[in-house]
Parts: sequence; C-alpha cells; structure tokens
Amino acid sequence: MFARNPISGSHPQGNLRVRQGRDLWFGEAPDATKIAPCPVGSVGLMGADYSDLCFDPIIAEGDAVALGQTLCTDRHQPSITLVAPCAGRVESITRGARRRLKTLVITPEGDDTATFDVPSEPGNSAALRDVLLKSGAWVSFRTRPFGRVPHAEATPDAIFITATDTRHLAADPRAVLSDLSEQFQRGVTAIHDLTQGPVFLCQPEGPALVPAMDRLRIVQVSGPHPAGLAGTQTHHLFPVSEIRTVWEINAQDVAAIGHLLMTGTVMGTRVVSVAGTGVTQPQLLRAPLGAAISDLTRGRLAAPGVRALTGSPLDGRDLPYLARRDVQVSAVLPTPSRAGVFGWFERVTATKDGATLPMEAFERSFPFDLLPAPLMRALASGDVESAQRLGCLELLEEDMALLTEICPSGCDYGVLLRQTLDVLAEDLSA
Amino acid sequence: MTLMKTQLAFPWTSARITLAFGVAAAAPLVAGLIAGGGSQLVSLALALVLATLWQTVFSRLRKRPMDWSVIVYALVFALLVPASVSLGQQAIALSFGLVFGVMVFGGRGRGFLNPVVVALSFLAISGADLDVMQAGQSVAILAALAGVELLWLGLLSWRLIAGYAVTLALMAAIWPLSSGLGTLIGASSVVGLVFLISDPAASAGTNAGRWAHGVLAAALVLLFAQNGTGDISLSAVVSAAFLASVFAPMVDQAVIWLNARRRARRAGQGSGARHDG
Repeated sequence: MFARNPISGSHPQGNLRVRQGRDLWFGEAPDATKIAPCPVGSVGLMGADYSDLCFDPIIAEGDAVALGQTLCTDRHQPSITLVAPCAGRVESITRGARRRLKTLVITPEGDDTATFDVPSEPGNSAALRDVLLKSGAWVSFRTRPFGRVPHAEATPDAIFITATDTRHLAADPRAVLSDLSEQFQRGVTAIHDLTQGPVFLCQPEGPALVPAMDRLRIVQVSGPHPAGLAGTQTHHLFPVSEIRTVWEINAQDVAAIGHLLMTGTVMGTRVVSVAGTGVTQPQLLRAPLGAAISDLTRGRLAAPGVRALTGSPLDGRDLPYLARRDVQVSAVLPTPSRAGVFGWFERVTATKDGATLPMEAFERSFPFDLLPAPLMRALASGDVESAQRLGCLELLEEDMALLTEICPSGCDYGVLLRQTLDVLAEDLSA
Repeated sequence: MTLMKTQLAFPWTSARITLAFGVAAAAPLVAGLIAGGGSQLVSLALALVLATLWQTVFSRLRKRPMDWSVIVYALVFALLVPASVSLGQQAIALSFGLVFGVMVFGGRGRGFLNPVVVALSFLAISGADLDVMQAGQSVAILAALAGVELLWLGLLSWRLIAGYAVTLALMAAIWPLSSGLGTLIGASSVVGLVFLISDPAASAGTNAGRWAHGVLAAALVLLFAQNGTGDISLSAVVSAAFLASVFAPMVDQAVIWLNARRRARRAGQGSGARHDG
C-alpha cells in the first residue's frame, strides 16, 4: 500500500511516499520566488486558537507594547505566555466565557522590541525551555494526540518538524525557508534538546535542509495532499497513542525559534500565502502573526462578496484574524447554483444531514492504516469508545478535511473529531 | 461555514447519488417494460407511491427532511418483482421491506439491509414463486451497463464485484451448474449483483470486507443455485444477498479487530512513557 522505508536508528535519511490522497484545484498557486512585505492596520490574538488554555491579559487597553512583550499568561500555567507579534498600541481586549481572553487587538506603531536573555551554548535544555516559554514560542508546539499546547514541563517521545505543506494553495516551505536557512538550522538544533527521543524533519524531496545530527531523522515526503500534514507523517513514522505523545511544529515557527536564539528578539512575522479563485493575484506576503484577514486581502479580492478564510480552502475558517497555526489565507469564488432540471432536482432532493454511503473513494483519499467508513460512522454517532479503537487519537481536525469534502452526508468530521478528542482527553487524564 | 464544495470534479451529494442510482436502475427497468409489453407499469406506479408514502410518514414522524434515496429501491423492486404476484402482495412485501429494511434504521445508509432484498425475501417466504420472472437479455445487458456506470462513478466497489466474479467463475468451473454457463450472466445474476449484492448501504464498508462480501455472496449464490433449480435464479440471488448483508457488519468487525491489533503492535515498538499534553 505504501512504499515505506522504515526509519530506523542507523539510517538518518528516509523516504515516505504516500499514494492515497487527492490534490484538488482551487486556483493558481502563488509565485514562490517573490515574497512581498504586507503592512497591516491591525493584528489580533484569538483565545480560540488555544482552546485548552485560559489566557488572562496582563496589559490594559491603550497600553503601548513592544514586539515580544508579554501580553497574556495562562491562568493555570503562568509560565505559558502570549507575546506581541509587533510593536504597537493595544486597541481592544474582549473576554469570553470565564473571563478568558477572546480577542486582543493591537494597532501596529513604532518599532520597540523586547530582548530576551538567550542561552549562549546549546545543550542547556532548562534555559532553552525557559526562553521559549517567556518569548511566547512555546505555543507554536502542538501535541498529538489531542492537538494541544504542551504542558510547560512535559517532554515528548518525539518531535516532528513539518517542512512540507501539501495543503492546496499553500506556500512551498522550501521557498519560504530559502532566506531563513541559518535561522532554521539553529532552530532545529535547539528543538533537538527538548526531547530524548528522535526528531523527525519531514521535508520535500531534494537536498537535506539541515546537516545530519544525532537523533535527527530527515524524511523526504512525497505524494498528494495530505502527505504534507504532520498527521500523515506521524502515522507512518512514529504513531502516537494513549501512552506516546509527539509534538509537532511547522518550519516557519522553527525558523522563528532560531531567530530568537540568534538575536534575542522575537520574529513576529510569517510568510503567508494569499490565494484562491477569489483572489486576483495569488501572492506570498510577509505579515505579522494574527494579521487582520481584511488587511491581507485588501485590493486583492476578485469580487466584493468573496469571503477570505484563514487556513486552506478545504478546512479554512471564517475568522477576522489569521489563526496562530495558519500560514495561508484562501478565498474561493462561490459557484452559482445550477439552473435547469438538474438544478431543480438537486434542490428538491438535497438532504442536509444524510447518512454517509461508504465508498472506496474514502480509502483512496485517506493515507492512514485506519478504516475511514467505520471511523466516520463512529464519529458521526458520537461513539467515543469505537472511535478510539479505530485510531482517532492519531488524528486532528485537518486530517479529516478531505473526507469531509468527499463524504456526501455533509457532516464536518473535523468538528466531530474535536468533540470526541475532548471527551477522550478528559477520560484519559482522569 | 459555507465553504463551497465545488472544486471536486463531481462532488457527491445525496441528491447526486440518488440521481446516479436512479438513472442506473431506470435503464434496465425501461428495457424490462418494453420486453414485458408494459405489464410492469402498474407495479412501478405502486412502488413509487409506496416509497413516497413511507418516506413521508417517517419524515413527519421523525421531523426529518425528506430523503429521496428510497425512490431507487422502488425502481429496482418494480424491475424484479414477478408479474404473477398480486398487487396486494406486492404492496405488503414492499411496505415490509421499506419499513423494516431501511426506515426503522433512520434511512438509507443507517441500516444494513437492502429493502428490495427484504421485500423479495418476504414474498419468497410467503410462498410466491420468484423464479417466473422472464427478463430478457436486454435487461441483463442494460443492468451490466448500469453497473459499469456506477463502478466508474465510484459508487460501487470494484473489490466487491471482482471478489464476486472470480469466486463465481472458479466455483462454477469446479462445480458446474446443470443449466450451463449462460446463467452466470443471466438477468437475475447481473441485476442481483449490481442492485442487490453491491448496494453500498447494505454491504461491507471496509476494503478487506468488500472482498470478503463479494466472495461470500458468490459462494452463497452458487450454493443456493445448486440446491434449487440448477441455474442462478432470482430466489438464489435474493437469499444470498440477504445472508451476505446480515454477515457484512460481522465481516467489518473482523476487519476492524485485525486493523486495531496490527496498529497496537506497531505502536508498541516505541517507548512507553506517558506525558500529559
């Protein structure tokens, strides 16, 4: 089924060729050679990006903040922080349930920059952990299973660095990293100290992005989407379970950690792909984390009614600001509803919440050794135990996006999986 | 979220699936109507009325939107039911099939039976002779074309059909049927395979399970044919489809169990320290 070269300790290089999956067309990909800076009028941090954390702002509306200044701390683990991705003034703070942070909006101005004491020599993992927590870089890690920000004292069994992105319309990580290679290397070296286990660097085919290192496994990944998602890679290289946790981090966040360790300052910008059929000119933009979507797409939308989503066209969300882990904005033109007999038939017979009909197409677009139809049924019926037996702990929302797209039922399996994972997380921690 | 589902070449919606199956079932039905001189028109009208009636009743009771997928079952029933069965019997059988084969489970895709199979089994148990159906070769050819259409659209499983065909051919070679090889591609055999045995809502839902489902259905068809009239009759296909559907969830459970065991072994290779996320 998969041409898999088992990645064992003695072979630092390996290949992962994924056959199942599907590349869909949502418009032209952006030109990978040009990265244009994009000044934005407002930047927002959204508490919903960290659903398991409970951030409390420690600054007030109207305060001037510097790039890298701490804005919020977690209520239960105060060492986990959110920092300002740019210098500016705090425009507004809105709170949600239990007074946790909902949205914090900053208007960029000036160029004040906070500096951090960085450990001078590598290998000091306690000092590294401390600076990652203080500089807000900690929240760029995500655990699998459950997709949460790791506990401040936890150690993973392995770390996955995702330098592949097969999401439709996403930027090619190789192009994004081309002028950050030094920072990226420094970041990989640092991350290496956070675990005793292997560190997987999943990258596109071609020359290795970083030189060989002890415990570093460089894996060349190829195949259609979702080959480039961390879920597919962990499943084949280091499957997670109730007793085995990996952390995943994307390549740009690794480069940002490298930048932090080299300069002592936070790199608040990311390269964001703005593309889709609803965009006149697909482009790569360098913009702050949490940039307002309306600023990123200003003057670029093909029609006035097009909605730009943070994330990929398959599982993007309609939010006002770029979500923390998204490095793309997609705007897809709506298709006009069909006219004629066929359109009439479709409207009359449309079922909103039908059952799924198991098709082989599910297996063909799901590159996991999991059984999609039974898993989809278990998720749709809220059968948490069966979903766990069917391997849902290995998955996160984004891994279900293709199945959601293909399944005729209209269920959003990403949302259903999140509900199931939240129940399981509570059960397993009890 | 109104993410447009348009960028797939032909994204499946329940309406489109109903349309594809409806077109597929209509082709052999029209051929059957022409061959039979239109005598099945009354059965067709009755079946369509009953399908609409039961769907409306259950939609109202459950306060759910109408689901038109059962219309396809009405077409298949009208194609297969022998004209010698009285209309009253047809009505009772199809109502039983629709209500206990699909409606009580909540609609197509939520149960594990094909209502046409249930209805025809009901007729067989109540003593009607299913094997008087005299469908011509044109029905078989059009049903085969419909099967190709559904396979090409990805709605039927090629694994199931391949498993069925290979098993049937092998078993017929080892254990020849008294009526010759022509019965393997007769109308009952082809229509039964495409519309009863392969029904994705009533067959196994895993790739390995689909192979097993095809093999099991073919073995049962041949077994019932050998014990009956010596050819692949409608009653043999219906009984085989019924039993295969009943076993399909068990086959899937076996596949799930093997998959879980294989993954547990793989996952057990690493370190076992537990970390809180």
